[in-house]
Amino acid sequence: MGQWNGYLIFIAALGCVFFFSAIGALYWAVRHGEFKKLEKTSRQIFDEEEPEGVHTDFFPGEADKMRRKLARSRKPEKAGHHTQD
Amino acid sequence: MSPLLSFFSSIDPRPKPGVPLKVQLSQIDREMRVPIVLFVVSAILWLQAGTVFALIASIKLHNPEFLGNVEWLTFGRARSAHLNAMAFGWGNNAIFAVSLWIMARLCKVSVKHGGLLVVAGAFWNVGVTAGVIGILTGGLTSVEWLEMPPQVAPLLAISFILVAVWGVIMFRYRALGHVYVSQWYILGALFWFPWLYVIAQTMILWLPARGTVQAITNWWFGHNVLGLWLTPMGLASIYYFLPKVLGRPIHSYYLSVLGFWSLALFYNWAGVHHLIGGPIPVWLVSAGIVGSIMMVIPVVVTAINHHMTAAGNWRAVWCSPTLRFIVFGGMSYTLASLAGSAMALRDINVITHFTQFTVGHAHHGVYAFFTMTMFGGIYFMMPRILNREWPSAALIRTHFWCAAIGITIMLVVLHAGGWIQGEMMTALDADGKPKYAFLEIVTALVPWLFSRSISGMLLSIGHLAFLVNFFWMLAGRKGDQDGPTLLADPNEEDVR
Repeated sequence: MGQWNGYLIFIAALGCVFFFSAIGALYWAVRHGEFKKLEKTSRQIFDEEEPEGVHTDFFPGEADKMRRKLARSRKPEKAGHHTQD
Repeated sequence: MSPLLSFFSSIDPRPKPGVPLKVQLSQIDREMRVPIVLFVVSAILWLQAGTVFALIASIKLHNPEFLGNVEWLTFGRARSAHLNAMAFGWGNNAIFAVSLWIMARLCKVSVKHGGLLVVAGAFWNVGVTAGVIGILTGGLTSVEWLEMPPQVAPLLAISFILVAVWGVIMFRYRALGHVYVSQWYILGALFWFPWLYVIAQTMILWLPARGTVQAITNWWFGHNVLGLWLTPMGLASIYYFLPKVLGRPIHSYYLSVLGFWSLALFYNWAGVHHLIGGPIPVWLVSAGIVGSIMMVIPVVVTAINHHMTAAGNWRAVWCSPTLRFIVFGGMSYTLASLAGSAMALRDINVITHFTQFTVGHAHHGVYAFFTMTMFGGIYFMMPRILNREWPSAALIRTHFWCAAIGITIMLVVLHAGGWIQGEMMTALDADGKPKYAFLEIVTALVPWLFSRSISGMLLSIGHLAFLVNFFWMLAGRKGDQDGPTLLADPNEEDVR
């Protein structure tokens, strides 16, 4: 019985360390301003090679056709955008 | 310069100042090419091996005499070989490839000493091979998710640490800017998995705890492999590829961060729900149930976020091989997780426990969510790594449809068959005695299990299409159109 409890406490302690390491990381994130300017962070995945607003993945050999199709389907959103046809 | 200092400066993966971003990115891809190709090749080969074991195990459930006189392939061994080949062979290799690449891209640093990653990959695969052979020859342990003989654990642990260290080095030297949510998920998972693995190995196999504590540790580990290893890596891929391919940022970055932190805080507690009704303290089970239900928060938050990002762009999703898989994976994550939370409730668990329903749920999470997102990630990553287009659109479509239809059939039949199985096992007659004999229940399951084998065959066809397309690409066949479309100038549509 004694050993049983010992292990149970060990597991509970591990769970707490797990939990508090997450709390620690959260604290670090808050201190480092990770929760400010969220919109800017969300754009970090784009770069000059694959910029925002450009679809970057197509079935092989269908890129040109699909790009034109996508551009046509998006046209109503962009009022004043030059026509492509 | 002292040797120590020169070592540290040699692992500094930051690009030299003044190098244009475009050059940096292609440099990252070039330096990661060999290790990533090694990981993806191993992953795909393990996927095929795991599929063969799966089919053997599945057929044996409705035709027990199938390969009945081969001692290496009894149901127990084939099933465990399947699980370990898929989880540690396919899953981990795919994760190493996709997550390291995403990490490098987001940190804008590359891998120095990539040869060490190759060594880590080689050791990892030797370890898993030895482990699977150990299982097939009867050296398996009776611990679910840790069936490989414990002797291979140090090998796996060392090679994992080698891989994880590179992830951490990249993060340490990341370019200025905030940490993107995918980086959070990957970093968290790289930290959680070795912890889980080492503790479980120690407490169950090396210095075994006694009695039911082993079972508690087992399910703390087993469920967290799904929740704190496969899930964060799948979500990291979705959060990277979904907005990246669509070319529009995630709907609400705030929600994505909230999702990560609530997963980090709640998931760890959920595993004990596997022991509902077992001989362990009730408060522990209750804590596990609370943790499981709390998971509804990150799941719903993530689901809303993914849906709102993709909403209105369904045509764009459909024309991208990556997003077909990624969005299928994202939708499955929502459904599988909500079902999982429901299954942690005692009233539902009493029916689903010990039935095929649980098997269906496991495939919902690991295949329909995790594996599909990894497929998507590999479809996006490989053309950029190899500077070459996928050779066949038809093979990608075959892969997608076989995987999507196959796994949908499998989920329907296992959930339905499992529920019927559970109802029959718990049904009582007027005297309070079991209403059905065990054999009647087994017989009632046969059509469902047979259908599951059919769905498995569909998945196998998909996996073969993936294998052929991948090695075809690796062998260097150029796309038949005007060069690698994915790498063409994205602005050329405006010129036309």
